[in-house]
Amino acid sequence: MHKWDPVERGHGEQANLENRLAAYYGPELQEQPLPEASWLRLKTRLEPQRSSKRQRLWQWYKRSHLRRGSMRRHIHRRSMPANMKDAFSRLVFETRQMPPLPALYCSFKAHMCVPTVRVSPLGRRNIKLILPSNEVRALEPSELDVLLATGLARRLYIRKPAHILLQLLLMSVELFACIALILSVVHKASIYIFLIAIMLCIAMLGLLQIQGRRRAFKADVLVVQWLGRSRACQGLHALANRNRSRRRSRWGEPSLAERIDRVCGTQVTSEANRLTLVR
Amino acid sequence: MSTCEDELIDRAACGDQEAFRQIWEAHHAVAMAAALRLCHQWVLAEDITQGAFLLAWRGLPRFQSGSPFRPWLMRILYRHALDEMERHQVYRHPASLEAVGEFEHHTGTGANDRGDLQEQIAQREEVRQALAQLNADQRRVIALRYGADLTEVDIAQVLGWPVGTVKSRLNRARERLRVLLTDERR
Repeated sequence: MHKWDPVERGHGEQANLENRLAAYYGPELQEQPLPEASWLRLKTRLEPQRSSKRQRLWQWYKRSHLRRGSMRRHIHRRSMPANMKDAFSRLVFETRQMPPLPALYCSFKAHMCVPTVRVSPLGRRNIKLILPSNEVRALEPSELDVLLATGLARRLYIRKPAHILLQLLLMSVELFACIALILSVVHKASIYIFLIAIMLCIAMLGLLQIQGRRRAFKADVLVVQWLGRSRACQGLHALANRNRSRRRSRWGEPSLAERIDRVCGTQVTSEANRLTLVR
Repeated sequence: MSTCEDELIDRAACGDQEAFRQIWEAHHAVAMAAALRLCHQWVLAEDITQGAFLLAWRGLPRFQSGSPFRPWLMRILYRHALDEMERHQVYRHPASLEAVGEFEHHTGTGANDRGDLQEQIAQREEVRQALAQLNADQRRVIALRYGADLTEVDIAQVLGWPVGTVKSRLNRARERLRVLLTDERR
């Protein structure tokens, strides 16, 4: 007599599912040639290729700017590896940054695992790359690209007037709330004023945090468009693999795991695919 | 990859449309077959193939010279096909008898008489409805696994996900499909 065996039944169902899916998609098809009209339709959509011009322009840009040192002025030279200088210059060129050109500053820290990038709206050295001092040589090109592109993208967002105004507004309210808090303590004001001031402080801090995270996600969309999704994913995963605490996020910034979820786990629009699929 | 194709790619990357036409001639039929197998709709498959070649044209300047062209093209095609299929909500629309007949006509596969064809459609409908209830990521891995016969490593490369993520999404998708298809029968 045949006994009931759940494992066997599971295998049977699995095989059945495999067969049904295989039947749904069908066997591999033979080649399906398209008519000449199809090529003609495609031909009308081919825009002029800009590669050679672009390459020539880049060569000219490098010769005329880098040799004279005008670009190098924007790179903090001391102890920065050559590949970083080159990668940064290339990214600045390829992403068509408007003047004033961004400046890259590099610093090294002993007790850190994951290289990070910080962006400041003020000052000349407004993109700061912070690297672990013992692992500089091990930085992969994809990681470097992601870090630099992240810096450039975030710099673009923090320089927008709307962002600066909103930031100023939030900071002013925060400052006002802090002053109100101090005054209410010093002058022993009503408990309600004290509570309102505290709540305002917390709310503003929360808003600043949310705004920082939103800006980081928006910047990641730009990074995907510039580098291509596969390259961006590769770089983010490489960065995440340096440290197990990939879920740890800093103030106003999403964790690497969140960024990976957004960048690699979601699709960008068809319009953006033109830039993202071709690497 | 042959030297001849290398030259064609170099020329196409510099804007030579005639060279790109030769690349199209060499690869479009395979790309079209792959797109058709995924979406089962001739018109959409043609759009996907054209879109993939357009993306390839734009990406040629960044193509690494010397590396094989077809895998690169197919990666673009699969990504584009999955995006387009989600955009057109392919799994939401039931296949009509005419559409299936057209697909069979073009591919030369399928049932001999109308009765068999109707049974095939009924079976396909069950699977389609189950697929429609998965989330987009699960549909993507299922399509690449069964509609393109890719391994988990290849799927990871196409979608830019880690292999572990592909495995877990594939397992979850299979499990959900099994439940859905079993419920369907009851």
